[in-house]
Amino acid sequence: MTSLVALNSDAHRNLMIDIQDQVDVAKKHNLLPVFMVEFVPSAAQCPVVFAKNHETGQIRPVIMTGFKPDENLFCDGDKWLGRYLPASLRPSPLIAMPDKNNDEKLVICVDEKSPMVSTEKGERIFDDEGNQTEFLKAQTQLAAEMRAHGLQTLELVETLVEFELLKTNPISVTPTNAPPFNVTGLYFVDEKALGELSPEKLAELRDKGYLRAIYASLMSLHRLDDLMRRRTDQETEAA
Amino acid sequence: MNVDELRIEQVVIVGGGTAGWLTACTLAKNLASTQPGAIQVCVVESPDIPTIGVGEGTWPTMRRTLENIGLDETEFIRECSATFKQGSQFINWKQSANTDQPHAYYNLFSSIYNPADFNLAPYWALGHAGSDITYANAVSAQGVACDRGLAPKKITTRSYDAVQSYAYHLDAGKFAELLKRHATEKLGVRMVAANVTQVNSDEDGFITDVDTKEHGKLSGQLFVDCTGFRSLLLGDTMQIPFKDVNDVLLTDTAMAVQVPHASKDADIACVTKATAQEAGWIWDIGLQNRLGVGHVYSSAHISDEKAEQQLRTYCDDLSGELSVRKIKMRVGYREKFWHKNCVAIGLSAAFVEPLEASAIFLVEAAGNMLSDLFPRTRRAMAHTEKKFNNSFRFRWDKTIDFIKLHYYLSSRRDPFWRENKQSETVPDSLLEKLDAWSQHPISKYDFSDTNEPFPHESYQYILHGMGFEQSLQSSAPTFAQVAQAKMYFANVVKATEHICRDLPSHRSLIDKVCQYGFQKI
Ligand SMILES: Cc1cc2nc3c(=O)[nH]c(=O)nc-3n(C[C@H](O)[C@H](O)[C@H](O)COP(=O)(O)OP(=O)(O)OC[C@H]3O[C@@H](n4cnc5c(N)ncnc54)[C@H](O)[C@@H]3O)c2cc1C
Repeated sequence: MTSLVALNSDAHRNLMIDIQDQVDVAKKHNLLPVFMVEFVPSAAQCPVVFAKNHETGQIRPVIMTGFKPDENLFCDGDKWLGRYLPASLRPSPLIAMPDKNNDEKLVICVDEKSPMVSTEKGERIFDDEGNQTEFLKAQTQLAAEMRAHGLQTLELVETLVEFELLKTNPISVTPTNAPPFNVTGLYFVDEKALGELSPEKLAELRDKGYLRAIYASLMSLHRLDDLMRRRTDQETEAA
Repeated sequence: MNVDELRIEQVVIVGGGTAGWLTACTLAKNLASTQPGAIQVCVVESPDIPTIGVGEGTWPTMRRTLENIGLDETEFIRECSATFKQGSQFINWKQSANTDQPHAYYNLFSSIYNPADFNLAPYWALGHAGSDITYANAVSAQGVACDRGLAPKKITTRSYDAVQSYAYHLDAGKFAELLKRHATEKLGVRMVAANVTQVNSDEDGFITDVDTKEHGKLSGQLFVDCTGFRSLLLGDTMQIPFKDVNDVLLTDTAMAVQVPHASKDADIACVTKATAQEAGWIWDIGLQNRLGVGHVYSSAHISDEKAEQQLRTYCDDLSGELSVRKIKMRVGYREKFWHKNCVAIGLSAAFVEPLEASAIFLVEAAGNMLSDLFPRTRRAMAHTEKKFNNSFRFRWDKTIDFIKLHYYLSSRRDPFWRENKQSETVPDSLLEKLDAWSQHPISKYDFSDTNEPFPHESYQYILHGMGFEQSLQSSAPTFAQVAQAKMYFANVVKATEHICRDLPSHRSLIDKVCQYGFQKI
């Protein structure tokens, strides 16, 4: 559980933040959420598909790093084997939230329970006089960007669902030395439905800047073979 | 022009309760009323006469009905304080409560195996499932899921899809409001807020228009009577006689209360509970924010005061704070449901005690049949009238038999219960079936009619839940697929564990639906 508290230069005067990649938390997960802006860099290395969050049922874009729920072929301990590390594995304990009284305004909150937050290690966020440090200013900027990326991603999914452009079908996997199995619960861009979309809707996708992401996701399906190869290679190495 | 060739262009539905709005939605959707030139649907809703305000339990058909009219499941659940229903639980129906342990059994919406493919019931009756397992637990995972307070699906399950089949419990008032909004905003239904004061007919006895106090005349070619117990069109105007079935089903009064939940996170039962009383029974339906509870009883066997006291005792309302509403029930049906150009749907057509939530589900069926067979001209109407009347007469007769079955198998000793078993109160059609089933298991051949309202499996849940005496020993050799049956029983046990491990609690799912909603895909 996170415990978000709005930043306050008195209460948090001595707080320090030590930003660390969180690759090891992903070790046991085969689906890692990504933002829409990450589709292109991610698509070069693994499939970018869609899946439901088990807690909320919400559909979100994910990169597929393995075929089974606890398989991550991109993690070696806390080392990331891919070229592009998704933002979800570089989480900041500083998060931008809309102000309770004014939706338009963002408030920067800190997750006080995060292991990256202490009074001993990392960068100060306030100086002794209570002024924001350069580090905090940069992080504030980043947090606002993350929030915007999040909202944009939600809108993308909403549009894809509304235009009936997502379909689900099982993919069958045939490992070299094990019985074949199906991977279910994934959603893909429906290429056929995309081809049949009305000109108005297609224009809407273009104007919203979604087409690049949609094609990146479609093309990334070719990475399923790479993922399988990665699996076989790792098995051979281990053997 | 020959009146026979008169085209049906305008449907007028009188009455804006659950029946009126559900029928309006179904008709407008299926007749594509928003399209140019399509048949138009108008609902006359009285601003003064309240709806019946009860009717909160449904059948799984409601999922298809709502999906068909294009309502979003999440919106429906949020707006109607709705919860999930996986069946009914009958408490103390077999015998009175003063024995050590209350008796309870389930009528559930899904079994692991379809009895039409392989009927496990005779194998259960012959003891092949084991000696101490109830019929419900031998064939379905849903009883155990309900005992554990689990929901029938997960937040990741698509809208209207199920892990285990389900219906809803809903707030009747909010439901009618939601349907009204949907009908008028999305489906092209016109609403007229007015009281109908008179119904006018032509020389052939067909209704031509209705007079309203507020908006003058409203004319149409087909009229749907959804005026509730009043039956203003079919009963008052067309004078179609009412067939009382109070000689079979003895209850005639209900008292309803609304009981707030003790806390915001209170557990919610995922079944309708029906607890037998001295002269009737009490329904108990858990919505998101409150319970809907009511006592259905026979006024010939108990005084209103005593009935009210039993209801308050059930609700733990000893100080008498809850406000109780008494409803007189007219139990029976019209001799015809469709006459000339008037169709009655809802309480105006028929009503029997709400023991198996048969009313709304027959409203859905009527709306579907009406739109499927919708006559385009006056001449086409005579044919539809006949089909519709036969079909609904059959459905109501079967419903009455099915409700009566619940009473007939009881060994309770109170006068009301004893009278329910006296042969002059029991339809021959039911006695014949029971006689056959005492020697032979129920089979799919008993349910070959497509109009059959209650499924094969429901009868088995009731019969075996009530401990119906069936002697299959003499025909035991015909049930030779014992190994297969045993394998299926073992699979049910396995599936039950598997399904229950995976399902969230009913309350937590409801909270998640309110917060996040279901996805359409
Ligand atoms: C005690 C009880 C419990 C029940 N429980 C269940 C259950 O669990 N499950 C289930 O499926 N069903 C149940 N029912 C049945 C269910 O309540 C009804 O089938 C359902 O609500 C439909 O009612 P209705 O729309 O026909 O009638 P009503 O709700 O009575 O609506 C009648 C409408 O007609 C209008 N009207 C009347 N006269 C005029 C006029 N002159 N001009 C204009 N408008 C007029 C009224 O304003 C009203 O809008 C129960 C019924 C009772 C009595």
